[in-house]
Amino acid sequence: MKYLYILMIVLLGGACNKILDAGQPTGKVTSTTVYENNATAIAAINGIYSTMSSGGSITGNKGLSFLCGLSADEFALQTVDFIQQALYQNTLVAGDVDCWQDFYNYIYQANLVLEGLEKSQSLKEGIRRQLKGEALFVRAFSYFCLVNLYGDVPLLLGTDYKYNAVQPRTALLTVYAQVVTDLDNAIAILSGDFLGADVESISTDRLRPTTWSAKALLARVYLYTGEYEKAIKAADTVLNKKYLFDTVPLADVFVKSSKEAIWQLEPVKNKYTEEGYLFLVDTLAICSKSLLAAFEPGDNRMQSWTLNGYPFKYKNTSPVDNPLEYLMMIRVGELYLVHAEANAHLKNLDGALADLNVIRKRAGLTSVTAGTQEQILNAIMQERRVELFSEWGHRWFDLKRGGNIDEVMKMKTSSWQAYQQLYPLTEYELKANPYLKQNTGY
Amino acid sequence: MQFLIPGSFQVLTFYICAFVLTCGPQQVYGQYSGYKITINAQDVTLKTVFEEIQRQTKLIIGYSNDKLNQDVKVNASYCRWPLEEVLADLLIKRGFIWKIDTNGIAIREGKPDEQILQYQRKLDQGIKEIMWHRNLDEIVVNGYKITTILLNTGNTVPAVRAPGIKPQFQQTGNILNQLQGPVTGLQISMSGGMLGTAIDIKIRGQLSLMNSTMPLIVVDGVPVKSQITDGLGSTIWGAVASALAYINPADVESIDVLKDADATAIYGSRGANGVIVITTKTARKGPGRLSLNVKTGIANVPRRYHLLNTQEYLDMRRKALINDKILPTAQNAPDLLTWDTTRYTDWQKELIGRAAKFYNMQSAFTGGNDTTQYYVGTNYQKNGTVFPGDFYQEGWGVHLNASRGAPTQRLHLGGSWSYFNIHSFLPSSDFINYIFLPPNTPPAYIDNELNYSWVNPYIGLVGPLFTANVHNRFGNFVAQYRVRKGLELKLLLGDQLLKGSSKTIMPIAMIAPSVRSGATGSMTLYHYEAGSTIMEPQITYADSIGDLKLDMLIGGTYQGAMESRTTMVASGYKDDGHYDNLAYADSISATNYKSLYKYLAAYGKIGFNYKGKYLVNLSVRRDGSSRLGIRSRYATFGGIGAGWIFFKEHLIDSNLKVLSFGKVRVSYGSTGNDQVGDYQYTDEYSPVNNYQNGYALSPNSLANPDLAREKTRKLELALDLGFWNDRLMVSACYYLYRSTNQLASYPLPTMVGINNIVGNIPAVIRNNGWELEMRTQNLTTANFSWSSVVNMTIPKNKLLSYPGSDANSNYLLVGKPVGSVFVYKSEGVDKQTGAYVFSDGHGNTVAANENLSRSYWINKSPTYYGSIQHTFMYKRWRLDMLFVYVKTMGLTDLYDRVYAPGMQRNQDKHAIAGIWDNTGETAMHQRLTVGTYRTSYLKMLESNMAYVDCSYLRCQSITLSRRLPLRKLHLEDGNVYVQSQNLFTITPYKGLDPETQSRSKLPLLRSFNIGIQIQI
Repeated sequence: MKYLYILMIVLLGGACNKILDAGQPTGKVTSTTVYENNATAIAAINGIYSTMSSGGSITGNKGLSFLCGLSADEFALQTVDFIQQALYQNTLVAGDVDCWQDFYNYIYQANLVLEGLEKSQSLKEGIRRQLKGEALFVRAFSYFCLVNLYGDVPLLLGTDYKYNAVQPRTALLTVYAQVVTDLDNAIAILSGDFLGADVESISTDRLRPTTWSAKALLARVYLYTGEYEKAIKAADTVLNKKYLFDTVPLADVFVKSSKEAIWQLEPVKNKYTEEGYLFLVDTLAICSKSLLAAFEPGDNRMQSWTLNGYPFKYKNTSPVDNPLEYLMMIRVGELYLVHAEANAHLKNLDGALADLNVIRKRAGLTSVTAGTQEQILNAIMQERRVELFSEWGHRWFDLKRGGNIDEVMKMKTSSWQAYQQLYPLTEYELKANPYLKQNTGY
Repeated sequence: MQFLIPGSFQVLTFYICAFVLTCGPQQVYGQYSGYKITINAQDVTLKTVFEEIQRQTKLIIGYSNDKLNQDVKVNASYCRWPLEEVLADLLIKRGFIWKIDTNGIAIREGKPDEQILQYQRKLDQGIKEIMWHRNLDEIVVNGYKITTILLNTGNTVPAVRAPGIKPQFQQTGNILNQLQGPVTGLQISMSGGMLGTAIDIKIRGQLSLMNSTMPLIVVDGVPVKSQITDGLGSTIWGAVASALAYINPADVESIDVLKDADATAIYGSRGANGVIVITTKTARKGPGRLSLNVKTGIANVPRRYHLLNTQEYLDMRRKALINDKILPTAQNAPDLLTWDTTRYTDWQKELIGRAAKFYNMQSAFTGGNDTTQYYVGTNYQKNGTVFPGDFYQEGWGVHLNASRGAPTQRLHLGGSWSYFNIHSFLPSSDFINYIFLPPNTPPAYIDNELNYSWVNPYIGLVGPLFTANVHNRFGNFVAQYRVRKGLELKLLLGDQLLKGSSKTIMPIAMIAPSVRSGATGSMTLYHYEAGSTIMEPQITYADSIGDLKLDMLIGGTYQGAMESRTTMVASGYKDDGHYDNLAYADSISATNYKSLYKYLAAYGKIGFNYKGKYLVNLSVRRDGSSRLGIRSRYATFGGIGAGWIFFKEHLIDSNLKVLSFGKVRVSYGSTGNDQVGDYQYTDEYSPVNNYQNGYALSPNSLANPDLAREKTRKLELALDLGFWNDRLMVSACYYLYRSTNQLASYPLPTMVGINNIVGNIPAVIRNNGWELEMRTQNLTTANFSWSSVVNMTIPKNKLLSYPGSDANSNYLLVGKPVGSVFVYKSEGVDKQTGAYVFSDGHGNTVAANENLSRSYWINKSPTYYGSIQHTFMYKRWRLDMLFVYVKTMGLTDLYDRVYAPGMQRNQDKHAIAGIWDNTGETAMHQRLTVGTYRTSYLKMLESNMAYVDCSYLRCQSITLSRRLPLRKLHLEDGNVYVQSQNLFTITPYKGLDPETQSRSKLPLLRSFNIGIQIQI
């Protein structure tokens, strides 16, 4: 019996795995076949953009612009929906909002692409490099959002569900370090031109991340981590590409393929942006009194970017054959302010003012000419508030990193407590992964 | 209901009493001495046979050497034959007679007297061949090994044995039908009466939470496809059509059902659900013999609904409108206002009331010499339907078998090949769906033209129409080489190809001529193919050391299987004449799917037999299956079986004369279930909205490299006893199965990317139960015999644990049988409102629109089931009866799933009996409604009210045959017979069929046929 068993093991050793390989099912798409072909490999990364642009945490009534705007002092609530009420009153409980799931889904898709590309032998090298860069970029973008929403988060870089399902949180700085690594790697391989659907031809659309998109995001990350010199260096390379990137008149900022855009997403669900629909048709939220009051007299943005108190950056809400507007993911305006803020921190006050005044000038405001470092930093934060309102929760993140969140939020919600600046995880998540701990306070 | 539980036990008790009265130990066995002879030897001398008889009986045989040539070669195959009949067989034709006394057998030349001629007659009548008791030397399969019932340490039920030609075995339809009844522990439910509809089969209960309970089915060594996935796109067969309908029952020689660990562990990853081993007919040595079997008959729907006549129907409708305070208009009540209220159509009779004619013809020719044998079988069959119109299923097939190699030669070669095809022309949807039409519908035809002014079921004769062709061919080749005595090498190569194609046409003619302009027709083509190839090398070795006999087997299996499905929809046909030409279609779209399955195994088996009394059998298999994740492809399974044939012990033999047979068996082992679906371990992408005008794909399921088999550990204890020379044989068996590693969709943290995965969870399902069988020879005289077999299975099933089961899985609660349904608890009809009310799960009675919880569970698995068989023989007459019974709960088919009573559909009288009528009396059914109270009606369908006792006792088959006077007609063998299947069903169930429990599928049909079979 024993010999028989040994014989069997010999018979069925590793060599048998080949015999047992049943290949891939025809008529279904699996990760093994997806990355063997240029078109399907591109489709896999398109799937991430398509998922992002369809809603979830990226855009619409569950998007960061709306959620974080409610949490901060940007919006006044127009509905009685209890979750939106809880966001607005900063009384979230576990399970109310779940950006976690969405961003980790993008990360999973990106990791799947990265693993698939690693194994693939048959893709065009150019395409393979670009897709890898895009996947790294998407992963970095998602982790950036996650840490700013949740603090420490598990750092997952593969797709093995068994490993991933039991990971505890990773320290915020380690996550940021990975974000920087991913962006550096992406910068090295991403195209310098905006590419078309075939990922080879150059396109007027700015729908695929470029090396500049990665640099712009990197500049933002360095600003957040306080590495100002690096932030300036990263931002410079983008801002110096004047033929590609520049400020445009206020009314043209959010239209598709605007020169302002460093990365945009195409609205795939409808032929208009979910953001436009949210503020103009759903009208769930209106700009708060404090936000409206923050606009200086004569600020053209008040005229151009709000309508009856509602955010009016995206103007189109009717389906047309060719969408007029794309969802703005990263833009030049923000990058000038990143550049300004980094300069201010490095005491290059003239440089900071020059950057700031680019934005003020476009808005029809007078230039700020002098001030102390603190005054200039405050002026920049004020400018960020009115330039970047209703976009990506910039205000919420700025308050958190600015250190003045408690005093600002207490003015809005008397019951404000510091722990509320991080969102809670869902009960489901905590139950499914016992190694995860809830954010303190919840 | 009452009648059934006591009923079946009464039947049982009755037999025990009858047995004691008729054939107790006091009875003398007619003119028989009582000796039983078992010899199975070909081509041996008469002398050898006599010596063996002397050894077995301890009688001395005396004869004169001069007169009786004892060197003549004979073929002796006797399985526990009475000594007298053995002697009759050997001696009468040689002109000798005999006399038996206490000392011996004296043989001399002479003419047989009346006494001896009686034995001869019995032989002629063929009583021998249907020995009433289970022949202990009958050959059975125990996982690759051929053994006998006597020496088997595992649980194998020889379910079907069709040696020669026997009308009672000449069943038609799906071969699985024949397993219903005779096999304990095996439960079959048919989903409908049409050939090809799905059959659910469970051996010893539900072993899996999610996956198939289909046993492994092996035909001539080739594991075959048991289901046609997607049923060729047919709605009439259902999503999983049975692929075993395409094996011709007439080609089947035997079916063995393997249940316990000892028999199934050697099937490894595929043995958990049990194994059904089907062996086709093989060639027989001898002069060429032709046998023919022709039968014809009719089949019809055996039971009817008690539907309302026109007057009752109209009363119901009017009452319902008044109840709901709705004024009838031509829109909401055409049946009252537009249609002729004096018309009456019996839709049941019109649509499913016909007698379906069927014909079946089979021929077989077999023969051969010592070295070469051949078998050629052919068959043709045609079945009509009970529907209106000329629908039919027609098929023919061929079965070939040949073998070469004499017993003295080292090399033996053999092969089988079968082909069977069925062409079906059927309506696309079952006409039974229209029998509930109002009885006063307008005429179906006006001036011989179809009437399109209402939803006329006769439009179904025009379209959609379903045509299908299914071809099944399978074959094997076996080479055996004897290296030396006891050591053999064997190689089996086998192959199956099952091909089906179908065409469903939706012609323009289905549309009323008035709106036909601009309409187009469409056609759906479906192609299915499943193939399987197997290669199995084996080495067998047998030896004996003193009293210890030893047999060993080492083997390997490689199997590859393929399944592909292609669907093509061609639409936009502008006229009905060109469906076959795709060029006339405006647009064509197609989808396809193809999967492969590969399987690899090595196995071994060793059996010990000490003194023919102590038996031990060990088996082990290591196998790998491509269905499983890369990290758990391989697994090892093993089993052990042991038996003690204790009646041979001297102590028992000499003290317990009444005991003629006794054996205890125990077996334990592990088996697996890899029927988890192909490629479940891979991730899968689905298309999402295009991005940048380019294709976009998003993953929607996770890869699971750990996807593993479900595992079942099986324990069995069994006791087999025979009394009074085996006139009463009883076997009892207890089994205990624990199935673990269950595959289920379980939750993952969302950070993984996708928040659930199909994987193995440590849920445990326990199946245990008793299987009892009793075989009795109730009465035997020279001309008459009556024997019976009664069996009963008492299964139990319980989900022992399900980690992480929470409120979301309230259909599946720990401690309940798997497959229980959770329903609302009905609290009857509210006296005031007249609507159904329910319990809210907290002791309150609430209306249907309240937040109800499914607080009540119903166990749909049977409490017990079994069968009763009788065989009566009188001279040349023979009567076989098979009854099956089940005690179970199930879904009633009395209530329409869509239309509440009062709406525009006919109702069964029982569904509106005791209806609420505003008197404040307790009502059985809620008020009639045309829609206002439909919500509560639909909730009632989800409540315990919709589940009723579905127990039944069915006369599964009954066959009366008469053996033809062979000599007069110069026949080798022959019978004429009348037969009925599903003759009657005794049940408290009110609808059509307690087995199918469906009002949308044709019930099992009742058939009558006559036939003749001859062998020349």
